[in-house]
Amino acid sequence: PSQPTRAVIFLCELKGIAYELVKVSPALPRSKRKDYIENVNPTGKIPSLQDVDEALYLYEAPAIMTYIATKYKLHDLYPSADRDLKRRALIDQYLHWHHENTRKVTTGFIAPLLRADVKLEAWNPSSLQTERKLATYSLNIIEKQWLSAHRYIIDNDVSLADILCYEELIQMKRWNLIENAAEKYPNIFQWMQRMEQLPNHDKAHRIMARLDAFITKRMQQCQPLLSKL
Amino acid sequence: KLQLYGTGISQPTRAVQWLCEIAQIPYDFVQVNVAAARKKRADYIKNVNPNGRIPAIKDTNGLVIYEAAAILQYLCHRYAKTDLYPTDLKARAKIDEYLHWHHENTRMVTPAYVGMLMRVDVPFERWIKGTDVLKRRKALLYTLDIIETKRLGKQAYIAGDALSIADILCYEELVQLDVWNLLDEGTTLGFDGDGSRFMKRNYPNIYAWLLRMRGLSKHDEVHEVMVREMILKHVQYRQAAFTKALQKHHAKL
Repeated sequence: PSQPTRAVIFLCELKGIAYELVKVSPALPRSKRKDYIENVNPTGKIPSLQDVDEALYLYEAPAIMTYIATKYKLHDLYPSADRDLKRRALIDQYLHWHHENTRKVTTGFIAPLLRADVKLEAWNPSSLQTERKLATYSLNIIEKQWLSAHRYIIDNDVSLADILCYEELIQMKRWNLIENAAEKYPNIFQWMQRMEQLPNHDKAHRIMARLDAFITKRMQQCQPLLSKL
Repeated sequence: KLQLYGTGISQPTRAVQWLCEIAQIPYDFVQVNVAAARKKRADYIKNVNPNGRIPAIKDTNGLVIYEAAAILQYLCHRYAKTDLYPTDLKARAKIDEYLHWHHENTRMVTPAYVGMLMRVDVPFERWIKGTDVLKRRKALLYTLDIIETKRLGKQAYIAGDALSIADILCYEELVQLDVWNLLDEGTTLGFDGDGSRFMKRNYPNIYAWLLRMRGLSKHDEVHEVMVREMILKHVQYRQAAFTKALQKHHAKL
């Protein structure tokens, strides 16, 4: 269910990079994740990467993605500075912008649904409203400024920016989180169709099917909270 | 010359400005006031950054980049600053890891403490409710622990044994805790004031690093805006007022 984890998985599947997925659940109490927190990622968050050959532990999905792209010379998705500094800079710009913008789609719409371990009363409707406002602001920029001008986030070719962004926005489509999303964001929906055509897309996203029933149930359970927003 | 759009109180703007100074990149500083209504920033929004946010740069080749971290990365490439952003795969990965981690961690200092000090146009009540200030302050303590023990407890700089753009970005958030004494009470603000003393007592590794950073080229020039008398008085006044508002808020609950 973790969007940033799926972004790394999608990248690996897309480019046929072999990886081993080690399950770590951030919902477990810190005491049960001691090993992970001590040795891999002190924040306890996911995803993290262990590159055994390089004796490297790395966290933060965008940093993992740029590392993989650099190591495996995936210049079409993330050009080296000598090849295309401008394109690379625009991709880095998006990867950073993502944290405090597109990511709000998850924090504003999905987080309360996914975290069954957190009581409904603990969610502050006022801060959720703020997150949702920011999510809408981001969606409008993606829809009206970027995808109205070119086929993908940065330009007319796929890049790491699309892969990272996709895992946030696909949730909107798959789980119907926002009313009339397809009418409000036609460019985004067309872009999502393009992304679905990428090699190994379905294989990389099979994992989402496991959540369908759970999300639907949670949306019903969370109705009292959601109706306050 | 490179155009840098932003304002001195903005942490990411200072990060970019300081890199330009350290790397001796010639630039023009163009003031953009984000607290002003969008109408007043119409020019900036139309011609530079359609998001309206700062900082942004417009390079001599016409390229516009926003997001401070991305600007730092770009400038290091453009001006061959491989000392501050090495090309070695692992070293670079560790810097990128910090640059991304920063957004949802160190950056917390600003919405947890600084937003309500500087944004006089937003009522306190809205800050408390809308940004979950208390939750963020708690989260910030975890972040400081990680920086203190896992990063600066093991190496001299944020992302490794050498100074990098990760340190420059990080410093602009943490220096606020130092000069404005945000985590504590006390009335002597500024460098080597109550905030510095608090950091030295409670976060000795971070404190030692703060001192190292103060020694870098043009530090005082870039950070002078933070310790102007008017700003220090403003911070002190707003801190006290916000503390009262928080107490009132708790009393209501």
